[in-house]
Amino acid sequence: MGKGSLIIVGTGILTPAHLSQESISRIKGADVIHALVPDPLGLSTVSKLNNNVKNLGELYYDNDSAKNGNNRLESYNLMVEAIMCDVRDGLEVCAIFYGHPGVFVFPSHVAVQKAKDEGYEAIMLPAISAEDCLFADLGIDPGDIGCQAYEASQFVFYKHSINSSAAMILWQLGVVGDVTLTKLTPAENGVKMLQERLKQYYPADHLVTLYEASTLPIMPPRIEKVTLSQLDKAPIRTITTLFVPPLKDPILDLDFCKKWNIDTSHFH
Amino acid sequence: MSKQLIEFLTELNTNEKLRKNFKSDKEQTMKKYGVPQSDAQLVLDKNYDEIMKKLGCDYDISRNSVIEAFKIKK
Ligand SMILES: C[S@@+](CC[C@H](N)C(=O)[O-])C[C@H]1O[C@@H](n2cnc3c(N)ncnc32)[C@H](O)[C@@H]1O
Repeated sequence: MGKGSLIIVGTGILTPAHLSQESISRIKGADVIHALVPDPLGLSTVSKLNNNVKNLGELYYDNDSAKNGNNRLESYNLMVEAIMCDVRDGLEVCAIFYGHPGVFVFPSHVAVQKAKDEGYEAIMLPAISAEDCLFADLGIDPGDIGCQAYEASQFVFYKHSINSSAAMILWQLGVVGDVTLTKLTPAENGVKMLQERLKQYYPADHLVTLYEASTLPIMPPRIEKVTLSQLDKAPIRTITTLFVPPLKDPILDLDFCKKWNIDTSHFH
Repeated sequence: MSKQLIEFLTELNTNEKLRKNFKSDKEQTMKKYGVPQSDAQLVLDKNYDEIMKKLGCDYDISRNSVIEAFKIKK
């Protein structure tokens, strides 16, 4: 039996369209697949590429039973252990997550680190994330205005230096404010807390976009604009991402530019 | 949900000819592919929620991220 190894790949948001050639060949070549892919065509696509698929979804935290730990974090650790068991058994393991496997995904990074710590070869391949789809669907170039991204609860609970002259993307709106890591919906006051926090930086009539990339080739993306004050009335689902456009132009640092002889006459 | 619809949607992702045919005549393209009438009707009605449900789509398992604060605490 060869020495075990781990490769982490992502299916993108629209499967199989977003699967890279490299990911396809690594899925095909693996001894065993561990997959956590919720999207409609994800598992069926993966199963066609490799017939030894273990569904990590079966280890996902289950509110109704204690079989997969007491919260999401504990169930992620069970997934990491399941992956590592096969690596330790000397198998070439491919773990698959949806979107980009390293963007807002906890168990993938932990598994790579653990495998490396234990002396196994472990790598992660890049893939298409929800944010990549957002840039395409909303026609936003993060290079134009700058862009910041936060997990929604983190944005709510911490004091951040938010730059309202740049765009902002908030992830995991669907569990905003949940400190128990057991909920499948926002906490009772989650959206209200989010609104209050956003209103520290933006006016109540600031237009934000609720975004859901298409996960089926027959379906358009959801692009719904609401004002900040309407946010608590809008449907928020597990895959909803919030795009907050910039409020104002950045301020040109005239003193700095002058010091370095920068001609600012044509600057916006 | 029929196997044919899953196959059809999967192929629609990567087969340009099928995508073009579907764009110009949804009903006939699905019929020719062998998608059963009841499934085709869901597509024509844009009943995405029902299609997702029938495909067994499980977005309950889509939250894979925890923020630093929780990792340290737990
Ligand atoms: C745990 S993260 C996983 C992200 C994924 N790894 C990626 O690369 O996009 C889950 C969050 O991703 C975002 N997300 C997932 N699917 C999405 C979709 N179809 N459209 C928009 N945002 C999505 C939502 O913010 C959701 O709460």
